[in-house]
Amino acid sequence: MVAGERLVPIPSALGESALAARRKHSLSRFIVNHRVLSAFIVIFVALVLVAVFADALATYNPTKTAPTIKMRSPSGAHWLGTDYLGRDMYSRVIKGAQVSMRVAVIAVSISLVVGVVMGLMAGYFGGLADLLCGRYVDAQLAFPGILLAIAIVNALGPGLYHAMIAVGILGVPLYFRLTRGQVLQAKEQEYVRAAEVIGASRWRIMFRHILPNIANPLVVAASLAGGNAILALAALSFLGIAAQPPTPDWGAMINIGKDYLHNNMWMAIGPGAAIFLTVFTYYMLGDALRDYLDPRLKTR
Amino acid sequence: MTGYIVRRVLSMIPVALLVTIALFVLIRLTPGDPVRVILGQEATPQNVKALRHELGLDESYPVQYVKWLGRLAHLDFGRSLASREPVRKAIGERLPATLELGLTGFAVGLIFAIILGTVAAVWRDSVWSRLTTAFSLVFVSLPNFVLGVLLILLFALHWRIFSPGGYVAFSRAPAQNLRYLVLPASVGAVTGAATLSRFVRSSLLEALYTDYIRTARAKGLREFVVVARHAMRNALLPVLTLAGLALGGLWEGAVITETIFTWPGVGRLTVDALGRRDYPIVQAVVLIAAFSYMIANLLVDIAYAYLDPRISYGRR
Repeated sequence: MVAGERLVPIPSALGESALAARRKHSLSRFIVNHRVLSAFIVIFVALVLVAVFADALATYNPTKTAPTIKMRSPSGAHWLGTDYLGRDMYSRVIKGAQVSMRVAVIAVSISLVVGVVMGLMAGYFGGLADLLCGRYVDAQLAFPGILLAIAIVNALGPGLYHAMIAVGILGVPLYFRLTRGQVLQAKEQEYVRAAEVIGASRWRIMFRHILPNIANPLVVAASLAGGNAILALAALSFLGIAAQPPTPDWGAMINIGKDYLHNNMWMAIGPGAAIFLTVFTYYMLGDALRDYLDPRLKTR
Repeated sequence: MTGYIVRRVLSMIPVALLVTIALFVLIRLTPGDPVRVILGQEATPQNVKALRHELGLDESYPVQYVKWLGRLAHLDFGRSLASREPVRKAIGERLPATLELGLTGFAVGLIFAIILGTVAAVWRDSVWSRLTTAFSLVFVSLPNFVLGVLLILLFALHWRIFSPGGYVAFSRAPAQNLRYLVLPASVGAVTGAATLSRFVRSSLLEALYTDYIRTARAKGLREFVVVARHAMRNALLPVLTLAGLALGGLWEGAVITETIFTWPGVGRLTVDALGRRDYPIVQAVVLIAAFSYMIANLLVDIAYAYLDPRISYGRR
């Protein structure tokens, strides 16, 4: 079963404050009952803090070269060693967290906004809007993901921002399909009918009435997609068409590090471990969040 | 059944046309004048005009699109901007290496996915099940280029069992070819097994709790027969969809894996072309990948309809 198949929440007779209090209570109980989830929340918060305070945490300037100390192994002075230009790998990996998190937020935001707006229009208006959006998504899904991103970056020119746009476009079908399915169910609900009867505009119904009621699965999808976005961008950087030197990007660092494995394996291991930890945390959090928001979707 | 296949093929046409339109737009968005890229900045205006006419770039976009589509129908993808050799020839020469690597990784990955997924489903609360789930979670989160680097570090540089990269055609030196193949194919196999084993597990678990399995057990069939003959048959149907998509998507893996292991296939050709801004090659590879993806989807749907009698072939 996919996330899009969940039922639309039934409006409760409880007041908003009572609902909020109950939700808060059950979320805290859920987190307490799931120790693994608690651990990954801590790791995720730590990763976010590392990204936000990267400049303060970096021990050296991540782009400053020092040819006299190049290819050093890890030591007290350089915790992850130095690269082929003598740059401190620890500082570059820490700064890379900032680059990756920013990419994840921007790329997922692009996917979310475009996919949700298309899905709302296709699901609510139907007809031509549904046909056009549906065919567009069908055509996009015909392209293998990373190759479509390559074609887009190839057309726009190499660079981190163009790669973010490409990765953002890759995520559009997921949100489109999810939103469209939810809207088709939601628009038959009484609260939508009631809004129509009191004369609310179609846009108001879509964005003020339907969207808040279908937000849960979108939040789950967004949390999972953060990991996918980081993976996709790291792959594009690895291929040399996303982040350009001297930007400290994890994928680009591994691309260079692979050519120096016999001299200094830490050039690849540090950023490799960082990508793995970040994506793994995203996936674990996404899974747990899915279980929390819809226990029926809990994987067996 | 034939009617179903015809309808399914016909439904592909609008999507295929949209794919070509999207790619045509992307080609036109590409910065830089292709004529200047071929002739260089020193070319005389007469030469530029002549080549522009020869390439049909002086015509309107709709005319250019229709002519480009006509050339594609004859598998004419143009010429490489760098080497001036036909793109079809460049891709054709490298295709066997890509198929060898991709199909080997896919096949090994699928076999392991079925074994691991079955173990995890049949002994669902055992340590094996937990290990399989952990394997799947870890390797789904590990990018294939990181895995490739780790394999080179361990098996090529540390233990020196395999070579860190290289290629020789199977027809020239079979043993050497297989030696080169092991590490890059392992990347595809591990990634594929990690992704597919989760689906095998959940699909088989679902099948094991159905009434027909209870009936099969009640008849006194051996557990092996119940799992292998009855549950597995139905459980593998949804996995087929994902396996088909994975097969269609082996181009994605090729781009990364061939780069790490200097495997001279279409993926490496694409990455090299990206570096040289050799657009015709990149666009041709993307187009071929998109079409093979669509064909893989089509074959999966047909196989599904053939294997699952509940799927109706008729119109609703």
